[in-house]
Amino acid sequence: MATEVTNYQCPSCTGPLHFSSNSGNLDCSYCGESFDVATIELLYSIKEDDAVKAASEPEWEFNIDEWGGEEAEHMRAYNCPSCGAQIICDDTTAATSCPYCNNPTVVPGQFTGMLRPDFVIPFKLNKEAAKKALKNYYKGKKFLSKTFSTGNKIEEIKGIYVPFWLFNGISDGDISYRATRNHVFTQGDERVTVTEHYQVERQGNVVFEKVPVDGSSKMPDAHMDAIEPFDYSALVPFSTAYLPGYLADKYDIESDVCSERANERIRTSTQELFASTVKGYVTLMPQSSSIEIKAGEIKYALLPVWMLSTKWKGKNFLFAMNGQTGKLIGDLPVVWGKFWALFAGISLPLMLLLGIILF
Amino acid sequence: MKRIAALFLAILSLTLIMLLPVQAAEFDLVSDGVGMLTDDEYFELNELAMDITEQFQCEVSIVIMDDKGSDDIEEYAKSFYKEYDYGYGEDKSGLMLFLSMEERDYAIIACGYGNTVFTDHGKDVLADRYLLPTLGEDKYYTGFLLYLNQTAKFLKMAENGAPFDIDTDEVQIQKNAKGSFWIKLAICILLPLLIAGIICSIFLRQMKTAVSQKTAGNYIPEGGFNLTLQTDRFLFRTETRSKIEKKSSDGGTSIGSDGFSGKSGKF
Repeated sequence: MATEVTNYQCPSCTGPLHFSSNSGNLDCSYCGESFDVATIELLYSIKEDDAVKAASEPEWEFNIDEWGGEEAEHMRAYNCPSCGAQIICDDTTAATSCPYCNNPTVVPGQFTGMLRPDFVIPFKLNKEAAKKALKNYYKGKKFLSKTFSTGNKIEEIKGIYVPFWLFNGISDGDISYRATRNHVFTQGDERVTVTEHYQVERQGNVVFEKVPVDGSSKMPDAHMDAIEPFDYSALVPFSTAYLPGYLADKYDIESDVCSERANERIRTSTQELFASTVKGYVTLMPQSSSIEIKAGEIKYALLPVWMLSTKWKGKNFLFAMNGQTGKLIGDLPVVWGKFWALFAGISLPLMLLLGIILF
Repeated sequence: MKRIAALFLAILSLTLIMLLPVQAAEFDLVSDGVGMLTDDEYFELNELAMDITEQFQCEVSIVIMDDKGSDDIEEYAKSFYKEYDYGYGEDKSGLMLFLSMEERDYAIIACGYGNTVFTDHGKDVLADRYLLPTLGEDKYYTGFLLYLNQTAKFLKMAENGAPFDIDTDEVQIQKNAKGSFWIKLAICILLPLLIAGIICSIFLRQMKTAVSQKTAGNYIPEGGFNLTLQTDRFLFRTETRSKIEKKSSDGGTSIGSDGFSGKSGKF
């Protein structure tokens, strides 16, 4: 059951290499040497060829009880190339770290063939930036408990390459509206309102490029949506060399399932765009709407996300930060006492002031 | 004999001269063409109308007829007023209550000095407080009696230099005061609640930022939106008319180009 995994090691001292969001290179944790991604990729492609040639070693025979049922289906075991320990993780894990020697470890088998991502956006912001962003996020929140911002501690902080499906497509729209325009004037002692009724037609198309939908069931959709947008100019062809030091999952929701969410967003945007071209009317009612989405290419990309979890009063709070832009989101607990205090603090003095003015 | 004849002519002339100012007394000021009133009621009302007319030199009259036809009641009443030479003095001062029983329509029209005395608000009050509640229950005598007594009060007020209007109507003044109190109170309470609600909801929204995206506008490239058809086709036109209501706070009388002011409706 155990499978080989890749652990990028320093060509100088064999220490573990990790991808640095600051330098954009693979840095050695021990000797401090820095190597660009292309050099390490070349080096490891030669190593993999050598490994294939040396694959004639005898296989040991196991005679132990194996995991059964559904558990086994979603479980994978790998050998750490640094310390030899067995790493057990689920079937979607693509990059992790060894729990024994803490060396960053990549599972290349997760990214081969049809499963290989097309692109990756490397992390630009590090763990410290994520912690700082979370502290800043608490600032100015009127209804947040002080003990939450000072007392709670970050339980876990993980840099994760989240699998996203990027949908390209063109929506062809044909929407008709009934619109009215009013002219009001006075005639004698009467107010005359002349209402002109129009039939408004709009046809056209809208191009959508790389609409992202996360393909991981582990990631909450609302969190992944809320940290958008990513700057796609930083997309680079996928290489496992960007993964060391971070966690990575392969997708576990198929693209055809995710396409429903993308289509819905495309459809809504198309309707809004068409409606924005109808101007000068007082009322606008859609009569009929036909939006056909011509599906284009679907790309598979890993996008950088920092996930931070905290615990307060026994409840978990999850935050997500865009690992490229630094946009941090997450729901905070509301102290309703503070809410009503502020409500009363605004409304009561205003009532008093208005009372003095009006009476 | 000549002296006797001269004396007779003198007495006759004096009598005629004395009768001249009371033009209205030349015919009845209450005309009941349907028989809604008993003889006693009729005479009493007519007497009262004449007294008021004589006292204030402004003719107050009541005309009840069976069916005015399809004409507008106000216009019909004005024609009637002119045709039968109603009104006191040169400016034809007067106030006429005109009823058409078939359609249960009523009109109150004023002319000359009557326009000064019976303001728009005054006519509204005569109709709403005294006529409609009684005529609606077919209590015609009571309604007419109240109406005539009230016109006398209005005439007295005008004689004293303060015609009955919004600013002299105690009931209306109290009503306005009450109304404005509740409006002010509502403003005092609701406006601060609304402002506080808006501010608090802005801060509350900052606490919940993990929200799903509904649109994909960020992923439309430059020039990615192309309209191939854009037509705005005119279909038809509709017209609605509404009478511009005089602001209740304005007061005064709206006099038409024919010199009449009026109010009409159903009872």
